[in-house]
Amino acid sequence: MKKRKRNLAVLVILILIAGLTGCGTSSKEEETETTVQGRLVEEEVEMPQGMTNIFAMGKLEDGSIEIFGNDYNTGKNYIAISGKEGESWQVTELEDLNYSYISAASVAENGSVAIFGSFRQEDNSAKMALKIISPEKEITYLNYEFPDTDDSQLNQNMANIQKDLGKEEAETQIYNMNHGVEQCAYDSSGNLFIKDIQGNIYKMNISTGEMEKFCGFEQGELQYFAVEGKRLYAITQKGVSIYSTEDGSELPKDHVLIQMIKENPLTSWGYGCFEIAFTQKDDRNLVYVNHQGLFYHQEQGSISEQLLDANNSYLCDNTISFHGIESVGEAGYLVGIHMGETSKLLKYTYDENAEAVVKKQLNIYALEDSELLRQVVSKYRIQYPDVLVQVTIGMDGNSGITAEEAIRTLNTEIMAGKGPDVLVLDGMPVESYIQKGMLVDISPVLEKVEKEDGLFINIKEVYTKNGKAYSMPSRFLMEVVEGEEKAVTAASTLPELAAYAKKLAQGGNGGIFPEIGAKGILMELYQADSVNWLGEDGTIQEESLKNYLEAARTIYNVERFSAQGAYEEFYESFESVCEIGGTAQVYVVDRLTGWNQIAFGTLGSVSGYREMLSIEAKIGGINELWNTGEQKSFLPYLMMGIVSTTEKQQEAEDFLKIMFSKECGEISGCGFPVNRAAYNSQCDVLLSREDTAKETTSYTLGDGTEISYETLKLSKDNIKQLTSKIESLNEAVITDRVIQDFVLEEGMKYLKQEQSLEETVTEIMQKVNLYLAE
Amino acid sequence: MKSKKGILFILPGLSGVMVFYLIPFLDVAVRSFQKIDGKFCGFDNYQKVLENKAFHLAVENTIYFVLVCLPLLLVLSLLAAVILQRTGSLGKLCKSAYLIPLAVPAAGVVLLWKLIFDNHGMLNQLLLWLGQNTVDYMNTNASFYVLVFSYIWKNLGYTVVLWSAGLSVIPENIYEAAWVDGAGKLRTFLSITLPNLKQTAFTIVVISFLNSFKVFREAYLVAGNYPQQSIYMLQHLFNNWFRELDMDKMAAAAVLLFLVILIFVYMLHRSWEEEH
Repeated sequence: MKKRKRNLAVLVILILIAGLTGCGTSSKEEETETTVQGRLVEEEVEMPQGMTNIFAMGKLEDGSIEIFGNDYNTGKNYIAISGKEGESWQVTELEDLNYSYISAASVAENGSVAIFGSFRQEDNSAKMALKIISPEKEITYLNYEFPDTDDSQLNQNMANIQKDLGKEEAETQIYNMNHGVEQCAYDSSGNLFIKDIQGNIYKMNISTGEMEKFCGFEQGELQYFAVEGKRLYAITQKGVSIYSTEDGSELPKDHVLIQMIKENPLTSWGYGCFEIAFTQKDDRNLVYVNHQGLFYHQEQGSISEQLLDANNSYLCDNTISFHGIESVGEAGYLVGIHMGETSKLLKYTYDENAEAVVKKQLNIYALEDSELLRQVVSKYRIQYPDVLVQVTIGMDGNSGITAEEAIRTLNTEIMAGKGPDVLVLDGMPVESYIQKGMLVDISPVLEKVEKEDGLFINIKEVYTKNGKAYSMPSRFLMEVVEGEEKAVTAASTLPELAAYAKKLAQGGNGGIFPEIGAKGILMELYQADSVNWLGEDGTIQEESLKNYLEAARTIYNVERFSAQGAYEEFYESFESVCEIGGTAQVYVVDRLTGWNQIAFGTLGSVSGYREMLSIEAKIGGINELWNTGEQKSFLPYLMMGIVSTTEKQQEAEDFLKIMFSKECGEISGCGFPVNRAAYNSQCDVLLSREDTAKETTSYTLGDGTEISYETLKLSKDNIKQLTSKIESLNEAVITDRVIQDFVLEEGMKYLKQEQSLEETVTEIMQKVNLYLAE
Repeated sequence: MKSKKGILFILPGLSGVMVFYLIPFLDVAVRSFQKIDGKFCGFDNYQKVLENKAFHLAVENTIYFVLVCLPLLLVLSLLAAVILQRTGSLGKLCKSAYLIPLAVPAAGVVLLWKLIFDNHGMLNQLLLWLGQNTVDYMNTNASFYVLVFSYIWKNLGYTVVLWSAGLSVIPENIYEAAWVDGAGKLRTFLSITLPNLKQTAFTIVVISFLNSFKVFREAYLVAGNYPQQSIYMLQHLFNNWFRELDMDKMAAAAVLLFLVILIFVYMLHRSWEEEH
């Protein structure tokens, strides 16, 4: 009996063990999987010589590709025709087209190009018209009229514009308004289709210039249309409508395409390019490209087949848009994209030796999304197409997950061995991760970058202890104060600033500080002052906290902060503060317009510094780093770290190298780059603008008064001053999210008079001490 | 043969307990002697936990909470059960009503808390109307009593049902014999009802003790990770340690907590067995 019991017990244990081991993934199975090979691979091909911008591209009858574009710097226009594989461009420079801008262009199958735009007239006015460039490069000028212009609207426009302009100028403007063309496209029969600014599509007879309405939509409903072969695809917010270009009849709905547009709605467009482009394989089959990848679709088919996943290519970069896509060779595609201020050509060809599925995956985790991070990821994807990059955002803004919850989920994944490889540590418990050995020493990566481009050593030193650095921001911002000398001097300590503000308020001279609400005030002051709060034992000094709260309350009370401030929403998310490259340059403009007398905020770009100096040149004033104690603090942004449990350390290091590289540092965005060469390059760009024409920025006040200032040409001395300010930074502000939340949450109650100073300080100190005791 | 059948019956449940509780707990016990990187560190984690001021505060609060809540709940629920047993069909209706708090989701309870106990909540409005000073219930020591109230409110009905089950199995003829002998209500309660409820009492004390740890959910939803100090419980600390990846401290504290509960239940069991 006893033996039986023992056997039964052993059986139970075996079943349990078998059950437990069955839960894991079988890595051996994965290893023995057959590698499937062959997929489309991306390659950037050179733009036709001299051309930097594409206006239109199309496939000709013989299979070659024609591009109409210009050189951004010289303004010269070109037509380039390729071989059948989209290579070896034959470029022809066109005679001066004499336009002030081009609003739409299209290439026909016979090689002629239609260009809509504002063309300069003999009397120097600019008028909307159409120019046709024949295959022989002869240019024909054509006036056109939309057949059903709404007269009442025209008269209204006339009445409005005549108030401000002379009759003749008003007539030209109204003419241009009523002849505006947003998009045009040829069909395979040579008919030209045009979209006006009202959202109607017209069919034009090229030889006579006559037009007939093809289809109409509610104003603003039609976002984009494409003509491929004898099909016209009209994309609206609701989906896609397909028309026959021959008789104008609407074809049956294609539900797969409609669903695709619903899932990926078009949000913006410009430079004659869009977030999607189509090309037809034949009458019933088409290929389209968007930010999800390259897709093959059969008309009325039940699914679109993905030919290429955007994750491994330029396509995933949400900042790019598409000029067009054309098939080349047997199974290749040429895609024209607009990126930054220029165009690029990407060629996709089938490589039978490339692995069909990219197996290496680099996981990057950030609490909050960042456009800058996305751009760096795009650059990494392009350099390392054999690595799939997965970006996970903890607080995606839709799910209502708090930072605490996101961090807990992340920790669970890390402990389960399924964590990310690279962490963007903004808002995370960095010190705790370092103490637990969760982060790898990244100093070798930093040393390499330092050797190649140089780094701001003072920033690096803040994150280096005993020769090791476990985290490092790729960008940083600094807190500055700007205004009259007296004000800037007073801002050296918070009590003095509060006293000065009170004095100004008594004088009744209008606005004193930027209108940023309670949270904004607390946040800006926190960034300037918090670095001085920590005592030697690592705890917060009560007296410093008291001074901070009292000053914040005084500043809040001196005038109109009880109202919801114009910039209050910025402080709901640090990201939004960063999107504008720091807050200081916005508040300085408010000083120009008379809204406030003292500006303070974060400065994160050389161009922001230039704006500040430009306004100072106009209305006087000085600027200084705003630090209320001995430490010169900065606000780190995009703080990077590599997780110690990663199996892809090399890939993670490669990513960090790109993140800290000169190329990524040059991307305009939030914060100064820690990469010295990138910073120098940003400065050089603005220094070299001495040769260019002066820029003027104007603001119209509520009473109609116009205030303008001339953008200052930065001098070497200006750059030297800025650099010396940056080089003096020696400590990061307290970025611990928990402490910051305590201070802001309780501080808000104090500013809004819900609790006394003593209660607030006690509450914050209790919580902070408890947090530190944990 | 009978015992073999019994094992087969408990096998599914036992498997679940082993997979989801016992084996993970063994892993926790092993981790309590390791650093986060897996290196053995002896009793360092236990030392760290026992020296931790936040742990002291959380333990003090939790013990105080148990000492206040447990007797209060046992007495109130027993009284309610006895009264309800003697009120016939109305008693049955009331018993069902007592169970409603168990069905109310924690998020709903929290909303109610905020409406009632907020600085500008209903209770303070009432105090103002009565000409009294308002009390900031959630940011003063009063928050402890709000938590006690919430625990009693939520668990009273369930405990009443458990007591009622115990009361219903006491044979009626014992009471009848006592009444014939001239015993009054108090005498029958003390000499018949209470002694016959000892077995039920053991179950109720253990369940209520364990439930007292679950009150964290409401406290967390109302006041977050760092509530007023008097309602900072062990689970707050565990929760915060998890955020900071202090797995070593968490493991040691979990083992300590397990030992305390084990000793408590064992002692209770021993004392009950001794009396039998």
